Amino acid sequence: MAQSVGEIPSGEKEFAESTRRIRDIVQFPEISEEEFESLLKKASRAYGGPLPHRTYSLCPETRRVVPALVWENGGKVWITKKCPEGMITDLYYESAEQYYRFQRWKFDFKLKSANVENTGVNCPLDCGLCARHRSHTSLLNIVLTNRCNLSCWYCFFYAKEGQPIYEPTLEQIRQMLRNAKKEHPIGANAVQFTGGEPTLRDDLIEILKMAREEGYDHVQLNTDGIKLAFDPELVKKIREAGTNTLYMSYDGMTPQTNWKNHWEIPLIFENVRKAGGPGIVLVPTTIRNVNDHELGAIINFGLNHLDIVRGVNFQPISLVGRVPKKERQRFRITIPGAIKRIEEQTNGTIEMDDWYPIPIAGHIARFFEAFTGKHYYMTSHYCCGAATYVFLDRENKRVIPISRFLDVEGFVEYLESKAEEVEQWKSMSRLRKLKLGAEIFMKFRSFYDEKYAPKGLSVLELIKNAFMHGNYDALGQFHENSLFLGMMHFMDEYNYDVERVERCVIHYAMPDGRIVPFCTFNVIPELYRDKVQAQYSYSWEEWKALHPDWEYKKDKYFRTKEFVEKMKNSELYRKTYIDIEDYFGLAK
Amino acid sequence: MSINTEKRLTRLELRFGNVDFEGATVKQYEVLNDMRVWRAFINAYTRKGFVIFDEEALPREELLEKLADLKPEVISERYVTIGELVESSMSWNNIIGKT
Repeated sequence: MAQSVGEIPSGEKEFAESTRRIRDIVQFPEISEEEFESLLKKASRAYGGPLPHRTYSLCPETRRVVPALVWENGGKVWITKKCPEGMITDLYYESAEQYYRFQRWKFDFKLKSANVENTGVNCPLDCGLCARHRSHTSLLNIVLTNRCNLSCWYCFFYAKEGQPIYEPTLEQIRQMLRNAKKEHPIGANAVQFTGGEPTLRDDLIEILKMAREEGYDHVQLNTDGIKLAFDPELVKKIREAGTNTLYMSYDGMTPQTNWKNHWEIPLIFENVRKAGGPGIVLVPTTIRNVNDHELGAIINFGLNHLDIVRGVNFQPISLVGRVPKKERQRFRITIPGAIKRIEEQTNGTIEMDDWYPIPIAGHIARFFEAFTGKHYYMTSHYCCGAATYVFLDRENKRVIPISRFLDVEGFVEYLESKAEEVEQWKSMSRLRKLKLGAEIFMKFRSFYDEKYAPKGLSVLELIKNAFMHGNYDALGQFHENSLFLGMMHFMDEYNYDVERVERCVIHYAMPDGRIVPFCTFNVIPELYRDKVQAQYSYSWEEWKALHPDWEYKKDKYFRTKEFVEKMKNSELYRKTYIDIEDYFGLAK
Repeated sequence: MSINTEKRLTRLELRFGNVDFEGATVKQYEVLNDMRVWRAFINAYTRKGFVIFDEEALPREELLEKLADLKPEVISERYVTIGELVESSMSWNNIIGKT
């Protein structure tokens, strides 16, 4: 087996080897230009309309904004567009059934502040946030550096030797935090610091504290974890600075599928346990024919480390750049495809119907807001993400998705029916508040089935605290007793849907004063990410002059053979990967 | 940072004699895909727009040449520093509706 040992990990050998074996190929349906034009004419236009549906997309070659058709064929949803160089089709969503189930929960939110004068008519070329955008920033990303300790073969972002270095100043970072916090009517509450590798910055702790000072409830660090494996003190400082979550790359269960940090994970986990946090969210970038056979095993792994692992957030691959059709057919996977594999790989424990679309949270948020005054809207497009919670019944060694004992959709429907009444909460008399609160809680019990709930856990109490009181501690307690499972499918040029990007909830702040949706920042880097970072970068010479003791090579992580051998034979490695429970009967 | 926030940029307000949605998006992309241009907007529906650019690096003749297909006419011009542009982009300076 090819492995990144005795070198700076890049993943090139591992990827080449894993893609030699092709298990399945997506067959794209044919559609003629005439059929396309005819379907486009009769397609629905309003957001959330039935298929076929008309939207706008991007031409991967010319970058033109072109009309596109989202349509159904063979139980799957496809996107087709007519570009100057011809028709392009790609897989949009692998289950039309789930598409319609999720569509029911669409939720729009009107942002009433902007960063640009552009009206959005030329979306997605008009970013930052503009008058057309339909969501506030739910998670703000700030790139702290383009320096990185790994050298991933596919990454065009990190600074190679001699290239400009992007590293915003503390003043600029504070300004970016404030910019998102002051969005109207709801500012950002959660921030993720990312890179490059953000732990390479010496002033990281100061930055994490700054986010707290600026009023962010949730502070997240997007890291490969390498530095955290070898510096327990740094983990402690990161936790003490107020970091809630380490959002950590974790692509598989073997050194081959997870070449980034397989060998370092046991040390990272140990250091997080010693430091008492932060909680970890494992982030597998999910690729057809590469690691899509390990999704169930990754969830099983997370459940075995529930004291520190809060969630697994699968990210179906975004095929950014020019990618030939053949490659897209080999690697493309979408949210329902990944969910289907999880169903198969957990022996039916976590089924398709156990998942919910992200904007269902928008419906719940209205009630949080009325009761508690806190604003947590997640109003993305219904195809952008999916989520669920699974609970571990340790007594019976059983994994139970929340949907088995709580009728989430039924409860949200009930809340919708009470919407007008609940929104008057603030002006209600105390007696009416008590009456309504009691009525909702009593009704809530009717959507909950104790018989199927995990034993030894007072889930009803946890959910009541999280929902009725809406306080973050209650939510934390909820997380510690369950595993969050998420899916977030970032787009690329081939499946680009302007309706999705105008509802994006995950944004990047740029030092030029703009806040930009994830899928414009990364899919059109020449206008956003790369351009602005080049405008604000230090030349190599400037950087060296400012940091005379800095050496490029010192940033890089060199994984030695000795280290791998030591880990292989360690008790810690065994405890982390081998002596673990098999909750889904995977070994059978 | 190597950026000089006092650096002066030029803002040209434009009217277009010949523009449609496709032409506007193509040109806006082309203009924005130039490091010397900081902001641009071409509205095919109002036939108006603006470009904010570094005139020391990008002569206005070159910029107007790029836009020639749209038959641009300069309505007005003013200067803005990078610092002012950043400040004017902040969310609190751009509240577009009351809740």
